Amino acid sequence: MTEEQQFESFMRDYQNMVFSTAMRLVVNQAEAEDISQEVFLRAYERFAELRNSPTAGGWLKTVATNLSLNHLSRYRSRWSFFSELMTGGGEQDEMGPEFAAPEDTEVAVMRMDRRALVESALQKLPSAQRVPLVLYHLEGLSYEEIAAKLRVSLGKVKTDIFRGREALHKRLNRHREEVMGG
Amino acid sequence: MSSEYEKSLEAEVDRELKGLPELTAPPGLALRVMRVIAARKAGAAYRPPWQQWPAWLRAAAFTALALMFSALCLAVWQLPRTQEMDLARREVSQWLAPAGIVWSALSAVTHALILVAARLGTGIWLAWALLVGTVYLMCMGLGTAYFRLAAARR
Repeated sequence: MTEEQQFESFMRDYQNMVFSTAMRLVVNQAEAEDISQEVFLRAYERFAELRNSPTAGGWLKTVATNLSLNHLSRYRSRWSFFSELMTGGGEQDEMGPEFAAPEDTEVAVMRMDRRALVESALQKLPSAQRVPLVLYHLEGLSYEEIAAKLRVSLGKVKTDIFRGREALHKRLNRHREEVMGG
Repeated sequence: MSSEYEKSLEAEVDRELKGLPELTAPPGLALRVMRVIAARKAGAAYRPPWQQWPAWLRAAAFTALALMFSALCLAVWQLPRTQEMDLARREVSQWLAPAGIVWSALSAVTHALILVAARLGTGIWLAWALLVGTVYLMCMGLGTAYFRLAAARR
């Protein structure tokens, strides 16, 4: 097996994880693809070390996270003023996706709907809430680490995470009521 | 905001988010990456950034650049002392003489403009600055709006 074939196999093992990390932070498929491509190009330069390393997954996730945050911050300072004017700077109050009440009550179908709802609700959060929420719950960073990465105060991180959780909670409750109400 | 409520909220959101499966990467991603790798490999040795060149090539490039720079410094130091340089200087001065007329005309126009600007009040300049600033902010705002519209539609 040539080195390229080995790398391709390595890439296929981790591509979903890398893409998920980027997508949940930047919420844009094209940008997440570009970031994922950059992650793997960097991984190729260090393939000799990563090939058999048990920490390869962690390394890829860290690079994907950092590149995603760099991407977000590159545009944040230029667009943030106008973006906040357009979105109102806070929680978006739009309705979540409409889910028809399932005719049967198979748990697997309900679980899929719920996961799709959670994914959609997460993507609809404003980036100020979504990014620290993803970093805390999915990347396992502490509040202090998140504040350092995002270069904001600890208080802001805690407030944004709390607001993000409340927004998700509201959407999930709304869905639960719709399903129960039939 | 009770602490019990916050803890239960954290636990609920943690459970929901950690229950999410990995998103499926687009099918063309691996192919894209392999194509870029193949293109980089096929390219010349000097195409990657300098830090990624082989050590021997970096040493050779550095030596060549150092020699060129030294030769340039020596030429700049020695050339003015030569007779050929004097002749060249006189020739160039003759070629550039007509340009002196154009330069004088430009200087006169520039001085006139400076005088006019000095006569205009500060208010005019402030109004201009405000207008330029407003147009800039409008362009930024329109650009943001279009970008967000395009991103939302995607």
